[in-house]
Amino acid sequence: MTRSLRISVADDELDMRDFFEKMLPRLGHQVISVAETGRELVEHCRSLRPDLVITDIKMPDMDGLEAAAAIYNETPVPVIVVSAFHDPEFIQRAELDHVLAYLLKPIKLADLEPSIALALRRFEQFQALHKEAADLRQALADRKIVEQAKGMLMKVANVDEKEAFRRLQSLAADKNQKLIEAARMILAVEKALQPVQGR
Amino acid sequence: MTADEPLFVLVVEDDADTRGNLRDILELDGFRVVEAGTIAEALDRDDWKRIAAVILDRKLPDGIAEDVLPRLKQLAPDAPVIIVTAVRELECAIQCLRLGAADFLAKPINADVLRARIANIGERVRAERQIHILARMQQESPNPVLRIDSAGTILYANPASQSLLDFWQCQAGQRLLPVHCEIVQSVLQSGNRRDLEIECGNRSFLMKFAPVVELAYVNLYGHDITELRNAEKKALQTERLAAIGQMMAGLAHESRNALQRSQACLEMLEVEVADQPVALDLVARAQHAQDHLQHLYEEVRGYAAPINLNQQPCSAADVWRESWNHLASALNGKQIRLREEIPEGSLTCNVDSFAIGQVFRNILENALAVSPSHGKILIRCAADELEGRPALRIEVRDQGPGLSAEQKQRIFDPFYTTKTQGTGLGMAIARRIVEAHGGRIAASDNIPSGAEIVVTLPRGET
Repeated sequence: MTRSLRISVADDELDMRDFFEKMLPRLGHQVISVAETGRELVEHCRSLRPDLVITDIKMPDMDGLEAAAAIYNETPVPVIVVSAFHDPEFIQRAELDHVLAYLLKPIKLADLEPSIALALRRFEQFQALHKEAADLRQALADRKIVEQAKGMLMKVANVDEKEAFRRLQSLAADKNQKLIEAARMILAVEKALQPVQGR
Repeated sequence: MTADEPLFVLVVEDDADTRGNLRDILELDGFRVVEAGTIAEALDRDDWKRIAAVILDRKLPDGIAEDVLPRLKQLAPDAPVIIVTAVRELECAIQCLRLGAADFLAKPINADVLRARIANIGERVRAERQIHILARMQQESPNPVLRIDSAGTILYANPASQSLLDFWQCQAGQRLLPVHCEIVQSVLQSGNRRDLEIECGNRSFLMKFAPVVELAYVNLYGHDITELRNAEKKALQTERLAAIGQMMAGLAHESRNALQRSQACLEMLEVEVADQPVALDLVARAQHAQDHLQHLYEEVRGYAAPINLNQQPCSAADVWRESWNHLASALNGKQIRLREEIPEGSLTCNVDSFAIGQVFRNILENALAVSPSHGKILIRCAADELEGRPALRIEVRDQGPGLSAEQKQRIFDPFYTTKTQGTGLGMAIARRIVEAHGGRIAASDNIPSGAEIVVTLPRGET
């Protein structure tokens, strides 16, 4: 079974709110907030930071998809939509708004269980990929700066690449800094020493 | 014959001068003249049809007018005969009138009097010809035309009226049905025409009762509106079905929320009564009903929803085998084998495999339901043609009790079912899908045992 999740739910119908509150704990999860409208759901998520959101679409004042988008903007959280409607427009919006499952009413508790597990798993994979991509992008940017700093040293100190890299390393070690920080420092100094241009 | 054709006047006169005079006067007035000097000459002709009038001298070398008049009336019954007579013979002229002469002229002939008499005749003949032509129009009309007198008696009925008369079981000279006689009387009284739609066997007629008050009869014009009515009925039915379809789809859609609430409450109730076996059993039964209701709604929605095909070349056998594999649960413990008779070569069709899979699923599901506990379902496939294009014919035969004539006819109608659990939409949906592919689906006739459904699918661009 999946780990126990803190879940925020939203549905404008009392029967469904009761259902989630009573039945989700039977799957080992905890319902930390119950909302009647999209706006309420957004507020709950802002203050409680749930692990998972289960929401209806058609609700007064703000619909579930709009709420999901607003929540996702603040903190990424997996969202399962449970709706009686499956118009192409809704499905298209759901695709955009990082909805991880779209269940068509009527659903049974038995339908929710695998959906929750899958949605969570997909969300974690999604987040991991996100992080990996961000790390790679950062690594690439860092590498560029280090290369620039190396080139700078080679030119100014008239040394070869290997020596330039060694100097950069020892500078970082002396200052107790990371390599990228030392590289940035060198580039900053280089910029400061440059003659004023184009005045 | 047209009403404007020149009118021929036969002049029978032994005196050549008088003949010449008559010819001049008549031709001036636009008549054509044919001449005869004796009775024998007058009778020796075969152009009686075109003779509009006869001017007959009373005394001729080979006889007198009284002798020849009956024969003339026989040969040219519609042509008026004007006797030319001397004033002193007026007694005889009266005898001539009795014998059918239309008029007489006293000698010497006064040109103006002749003109007046003959112009009169010309007009009458033209009018008669017009009536004749009009009468022929009715005769030839593809629509029923009848003339009825005030008592409801049929005075005239054209040939196209025959089917109506047969249906009414009456004929010309007899009376119309009492209900129609009443209408005849009422339109004669009011002087206003009236339309009446009548069903005659499997045909519909619009009957126009047009009164001719001054003559106390009613013209009855029929117009066969069967095709029109059929088209209207069909359009109405299509419209109704479309409206029902839309309503059902909407209902099925809107019901999701209600079904969901009911489902939610049932599941909560199940938890509440977990320690009460009787209550649990009731919950299970309610759940069963709820599932059935939901299934029904889904089918209706599926039937009413527009079909969007995603056609791709695929093997028909793959499609039905996949459908068969999905039906393991429908076996209900029965031992049924699927036997295939497939021709050599490709079974490729350009179809939406999901949709056609549903067709086979629905057919096989029905076949399984009626199959005995041990047996087989036979699928036979053969190359075929559909409207001149290559097609694939797939027959699915079961070992059940077979279909009655009524079942064969109605099996593809929505909501027609012989099963207690079915929605009656399975075969209707199958037909919709097959027809959306441009194919055909039918129940076979003349099957020795069991039922056979035949699906013919165009192979399309493969």
